[in-house]
Amino acid sequence: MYGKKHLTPWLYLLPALVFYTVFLAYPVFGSMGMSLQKWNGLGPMTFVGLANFRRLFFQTPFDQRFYNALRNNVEFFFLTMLLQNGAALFLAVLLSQKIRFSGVFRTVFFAPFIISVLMVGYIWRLILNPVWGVLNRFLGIIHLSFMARPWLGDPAWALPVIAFVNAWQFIGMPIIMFLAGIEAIPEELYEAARIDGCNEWSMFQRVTLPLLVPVIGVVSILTLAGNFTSFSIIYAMEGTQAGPYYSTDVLGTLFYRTAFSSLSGAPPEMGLGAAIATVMFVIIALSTLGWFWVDMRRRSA
Amino acid sequence: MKAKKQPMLLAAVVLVLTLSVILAGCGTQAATGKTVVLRFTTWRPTDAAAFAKLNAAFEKTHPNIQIKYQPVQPTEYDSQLSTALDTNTAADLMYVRPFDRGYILYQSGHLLQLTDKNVPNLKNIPASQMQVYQSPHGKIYALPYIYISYGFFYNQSIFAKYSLTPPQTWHEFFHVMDVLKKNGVTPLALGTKAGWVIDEIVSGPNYVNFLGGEKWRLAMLQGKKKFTGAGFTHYLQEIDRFRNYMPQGYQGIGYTAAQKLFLAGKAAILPGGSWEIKSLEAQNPNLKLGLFTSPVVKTGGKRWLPFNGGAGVGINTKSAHIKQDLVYVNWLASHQAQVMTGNYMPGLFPSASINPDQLTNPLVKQFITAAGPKGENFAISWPLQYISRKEPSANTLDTDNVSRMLNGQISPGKAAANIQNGLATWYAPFKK
Repeated sequence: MYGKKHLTPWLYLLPALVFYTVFLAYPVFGSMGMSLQKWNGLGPMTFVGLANFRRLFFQTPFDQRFYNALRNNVEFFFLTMLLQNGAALFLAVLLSQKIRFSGVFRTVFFAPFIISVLMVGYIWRLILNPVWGVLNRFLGIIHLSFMARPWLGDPAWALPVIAFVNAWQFIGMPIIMFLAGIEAIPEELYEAARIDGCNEWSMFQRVTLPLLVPVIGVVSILTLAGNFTSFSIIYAMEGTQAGPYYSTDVLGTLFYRTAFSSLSGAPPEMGLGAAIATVMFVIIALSTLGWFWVDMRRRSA
Repeated sequence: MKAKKQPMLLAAVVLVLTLSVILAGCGTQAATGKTVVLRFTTWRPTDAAAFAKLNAAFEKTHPNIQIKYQPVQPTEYDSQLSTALDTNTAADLMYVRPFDRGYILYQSGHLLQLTDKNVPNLKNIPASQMQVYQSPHGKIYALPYIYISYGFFYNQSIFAKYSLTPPQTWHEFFHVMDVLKKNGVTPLALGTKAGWVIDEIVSGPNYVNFLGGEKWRLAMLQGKKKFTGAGFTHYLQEIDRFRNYMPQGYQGIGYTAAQKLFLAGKAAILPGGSWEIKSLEAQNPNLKLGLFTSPVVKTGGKRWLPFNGGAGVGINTKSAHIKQDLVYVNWLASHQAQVMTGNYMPGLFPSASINPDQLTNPLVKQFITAAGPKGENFAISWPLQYISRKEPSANTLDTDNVSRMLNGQISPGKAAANIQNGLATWYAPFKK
C-alpha cells in the first residue's frame, strides 16, 4: 500500500516524461552530438571534435557571420524590450485604469497575435515598399518625404523596422501579463499611497513597478528566448539571406542557411549548423538559469 | 455464451483476412507478369501534369515498364532523399541537383555512371550541358535533362510607344534605357533587396559576352584569368551603371516586387530567368511580353547564351531494375521526349539540341534558338562550377559584393578584389 501510494504520481507523470524525452531531450542532445561531426547531409559522417566551434568562433568568414548574427540578436532583444515590452507596460497601466472600452482595446492589441507571421511579413512588406508602399506615401502627404527610406533595404533601418513589426504583432501577450500583474496588486496599497499624497507617477514608480518585477522578469526571459530562436519574421521580411548585407541576420537565419538551404551552391554543413544551434541553446539556458538565481535570492531576501 | 464465442470469431476473421492478403499478393504478381514499376522522385510537384503526359507516351512504347512519378516539396527534397538512400528505400530514379550539390550524391556512391554505351542518346546533349553533371575526372553521373537560362523580358507596348527595338549590343541597351528614363519610364524592374537576384540573374550570367563566355570561364577556373583583371572589373563597372536605371528606393525592392513593377507596366525591362515565363504570362495575360538575351559588346561576333543547370536524372546504384532505368533515361534524352519537355514545361528547357520550330511558346523558341543548333553558344554562369563548393563560395561573394556595389557602398574594383581574395582563401588554383 505504502509503495503504491508513492508510485501513483510517477505513473501520471510517465506519459509526459516519455514524450518530453523522445521529442525534446533526445533531439536536443542529438543535435549537440551532431555539432561534433562533419556531415553534408548525404555522405558519411566524420567525427571532428570541436572543429566546428573553432571555425565558428575564429575562422573567417564563419566568425564574421557568427558575431554579426549574435550582435544582431542582442540588438533585436533590446529593441524588442523597448518597442514591445516598454510599450506594453505603458498600455497595460492605461488599460488598468477604469476607462471606457478597455475590453475593446485589449482585443485590438491582441488581434495581430493570431495572424500568421508570413502574412504579417507580407502585409508590412507592402506597407514599407519604397515604390507603392503606404508609409513613404504618407510621409510625402505630411511633407516629410525627406524621411522616406527604402526601409527594408537600408542597413541602418532594416533591423529596427523588423523589431517594430515583431513588437506590433506580439505586444498583446506582455500587455495581458502586465495587466494580470497589475490587477493582482491589492487596492489598499494604492489607497495608502493616495493618503500619503502620492501622485499617479510616483504611485506607478513606488507601488506598481516594484510589485511587477517578477512579471517583468518572466516577460524578459520569454522575450529573450523568443528573440534568440527567432527566424520566421526575418525570413518573412528579408528571406534567408537576411539582407541588406546580413544587417538582419540572426542566429536562426544563420543556422538555417548553414544547415539546410544556402543559396550559395555549397553543400549544407549539418555539423556547423548544429554548433550554431548549440550556442543558441547555451545562451538561452544560461540566461534563464541566471534569472532564476536572481529571482530566488530576491525572494529569500 | 456470446462473450465466450467472440475470441473464436475474432481469430477466424484474422485468419481469413491474412489468407486473403497473401492470396491477393500472389494474384497481382501473377497477373502483371514482367511489368516493372520504376519509382522516380523529383523536387517538382508542379511538373506532375507534364510528367503524366511524358510517362504516358513512354509507357505506350514500353508496355513492360511503368513509371511512378513521386515529387517531394523542393525544400524537403534533399533531407528526404538522404534518409531514403540511407535506409535503402530510395526511388530507382531521382532528380539530381546541378554542380556540387549533385556531385556529393555521386561521391557517396549513390549514382550510376552514365556513358555513351549504357545511354546512347547522350550524344544528343551538347558538351557544355554535360559539364553540369560531370565529375572533375570527366565521369557523367546524371542525364542533363533540363536547364534554365537568363535574359531580359521587356514590355513590347512601352518599347513601341517610344519606337525602341530590342538592343543587340550593350551600347544600344544603355541607349534604350536612356530614352526610357528621359520619358519618365523606369527602365529596369530590378532591386537589390533579394541578394540572390543580383548574383543569379544579373552578375552571374551577363559576363558571357563581355569576357568571351566559356573560354574565359575555363581559364578563370584554372587560375589563368583573375577577377581583378581589367576584363572582369570593366564588366562590373558596366553592371554598376544599372543603378542609374533602377526604380527609386531599389535597395528596398526584392524579387516579387520587381516582378510586380514590370507586370503593372511601371518598369519596362525585367532582368529575369527563363522559369518566370509561365508565371509572367499567367499573371498578366494582357502584357505583350518580349525577350532579348544578354547583349554583345560588338555585333557580328558570337553571342553566348548564359545558363544554369536545372535538373539531371540519376539512377540509384541500389535500384533492382537498372536495365529498365537505363531504358527510361535514354528515352528522356531522345528528341521526342526532349521536344515534349520543351512544350510541357515552358521555361525549363530540354538540354538536348532540338529543332526550335517544334516548340510552341515563342519565348521558349527564342531562348532555344539563341543556344545555337548544336548548343555551341551555351556558357555557364561564372560562379556555379567548382568555385561555389565551399564558403566563402563564389555565389556568396557575388551576392555580397555586387549588391553592395549597386547600393553604392563599394566600388567595382573593390568588389572584384573581394571576390578574388575570398576565393583565394580556399580555391587551390587561386592560391598561387
